[in-house]
Amino acid sequence: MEIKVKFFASFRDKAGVPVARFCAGDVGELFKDVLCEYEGLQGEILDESESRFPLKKGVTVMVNGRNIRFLDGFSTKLNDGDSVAIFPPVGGG
Amino acid sequence: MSRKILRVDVKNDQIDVEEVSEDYVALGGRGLTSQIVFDEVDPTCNPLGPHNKVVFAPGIVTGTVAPTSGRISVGAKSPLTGGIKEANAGTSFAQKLAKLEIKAIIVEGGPVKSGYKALRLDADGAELVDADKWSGKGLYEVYEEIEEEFGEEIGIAGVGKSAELSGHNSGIAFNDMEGMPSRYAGRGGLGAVMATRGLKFIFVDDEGAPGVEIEDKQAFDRGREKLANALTSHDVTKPGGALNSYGTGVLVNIINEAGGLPHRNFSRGSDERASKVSGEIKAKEIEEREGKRPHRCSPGCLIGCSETWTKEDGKEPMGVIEYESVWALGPNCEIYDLDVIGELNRQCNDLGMDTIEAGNTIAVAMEGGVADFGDEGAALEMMDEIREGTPLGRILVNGTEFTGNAFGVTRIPTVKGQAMPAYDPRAIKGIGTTYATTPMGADHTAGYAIATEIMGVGGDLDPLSPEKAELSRNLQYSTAVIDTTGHCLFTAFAVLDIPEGLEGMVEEVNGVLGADLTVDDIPEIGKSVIDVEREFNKQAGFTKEDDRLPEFMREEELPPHNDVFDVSDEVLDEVLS
Ligand code: SF4
Repeated sequence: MEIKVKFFASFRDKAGVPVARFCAGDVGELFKDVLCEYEGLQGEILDESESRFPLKKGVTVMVNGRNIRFLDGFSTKLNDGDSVAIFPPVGGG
Repeated sequence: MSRKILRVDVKNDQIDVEEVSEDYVALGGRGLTSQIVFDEVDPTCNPLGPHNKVVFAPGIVTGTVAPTSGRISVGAKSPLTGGIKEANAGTSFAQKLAKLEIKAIIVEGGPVKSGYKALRLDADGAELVDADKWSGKGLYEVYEEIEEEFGEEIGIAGVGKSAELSGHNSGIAFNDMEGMPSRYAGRGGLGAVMATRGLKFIFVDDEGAPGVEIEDKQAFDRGREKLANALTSHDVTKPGGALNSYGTGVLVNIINEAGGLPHRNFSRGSDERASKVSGEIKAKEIEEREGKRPHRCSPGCLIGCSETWTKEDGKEPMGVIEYESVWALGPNCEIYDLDVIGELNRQCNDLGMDTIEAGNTIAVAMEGGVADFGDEGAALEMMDEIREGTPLGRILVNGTEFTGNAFGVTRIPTVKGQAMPAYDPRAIKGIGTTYATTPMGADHTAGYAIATEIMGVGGDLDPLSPEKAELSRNLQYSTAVIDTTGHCLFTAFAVLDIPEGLEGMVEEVNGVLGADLTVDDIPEIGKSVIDVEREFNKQAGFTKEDDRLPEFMREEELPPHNDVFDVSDEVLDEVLS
């Protein structure tokens, strides 16, 4: 079971790599592993004061192109070959 | 208030200075251009005939020290859409005009077949000077020559070869901080309206200008501080934030991931090759080539989303390549090379064309068999065809719908004749709702639903959900107000999330006008601007059937989410009714 994790913009610099591979059953589990592996991202992604949906404002996490806010949040199940994209707050137009 | 309106008629060699009527005192930017176009232009007129007018207006607070407010609006009846048009750009030209106490310039009369003129403005007055020697030339060279002749510090507005060809894809190019023709009021063919009035350039010198009068300095200063605090604290707009670090190109990856970045003329919403042209890669290249990033389009911007892109050897700076331009001239044509995209962008600037319309035009031409998708050389040759004014060039210069029809293409991504920007409405339905319903034709800036659907600014809504009437309406009204104040639309990222920032924007306006508006007045003011625009379009012959997306987007599923645009006609009709 392999999950492809992609880091973008400032998260790419903080992780030091654009892509990494992990094993995890859901998004919550994946984040524990990601933050353990890439210390530079600690404090950047999760908002510990928020218990319901502890993602920092503006941070976007997509599983196969779908924002986890509109899936099952941190309980979103992951399957072999899934792709998880993590973005800091971005803007433009 | 000693502000004035200039009325310019090149054909009759006449410049009149008029008082600002009571009805226009509280307007600026888009609110003013749309009102003047509504009041003075027959909606049924031929956009390139004698009865159209092109109107320039800086925003209400433009020219003051209000942060990120160097915008100029340009309005007319659009030859591309046949409806009303407002396009705006960030440039010191806007600030200089405002400092000369010019509330608007109305260019009328014509059509003029030869003998182009330039309008020269300074603290001593205005005059028309001969500009024929610059006819047919590329704008990079011309802007350099103009600066040599009239001074490096002047603001320049001008039109290029595309406008001289009466192309429906011809914009108005303003100079950037380095003097290059890279800041565009690009959309809707306004360049051709200006050229057919006989006016090729406007030069503004603000030396000795009186500056913008501020009625209530306390209110203004209070507002300025609140807005500055919001802009410098929000993650998207602050120093070192996403826009400042990567520019607008930071969107390439996130929109591609979300399945909404159109590739191959809106055939797919995602493609791995997009990462080659991302904002992250572009920022790195700019650093290595010693280009400029961050950079500002105009003095006083606290965000600094702009940049200076150069050729591979660090030579020939060309100004910014925006996200929309990267996409239109790149992935939409299956081109994934930033240097090729940069060269296409440079050609558009040089010819005076809107990059969104130009990229879509190349893509439909490719779909129509003029060239293969991904054929970089053929895309560049299309620019040569326009420069040379060949029969093919004269098709291409008229934009996406004209070109698609010429080559029998049925998948033409336009609304009201104007090509879509860099978000596929089948994957992000709120922006599709805006494309369909704004009076401007497909225009993302009219109600930037991406902020909420993708970035979680001002709330969170699922991009695939079709219930977006309220989102699009609210954004369209607030955008019309921001475009009227003269602030850059990117201030919205901060003020949609930070209420004090929005309050600050209103207080700045109160300070300049001596008014007592509140944040609660914003929807009503925005609605009044859009109602005027919709009424113009109605009188021009538009009906609700024009507020629709192309048929193929309702029927053809877009990978990877395999969805269609399923926002009902009833919902679309409800947005601005
Ligand atoms: S944010 Fe960008 S486009 Fe807006 S005013 Fe600043 S530099 Fe110009």
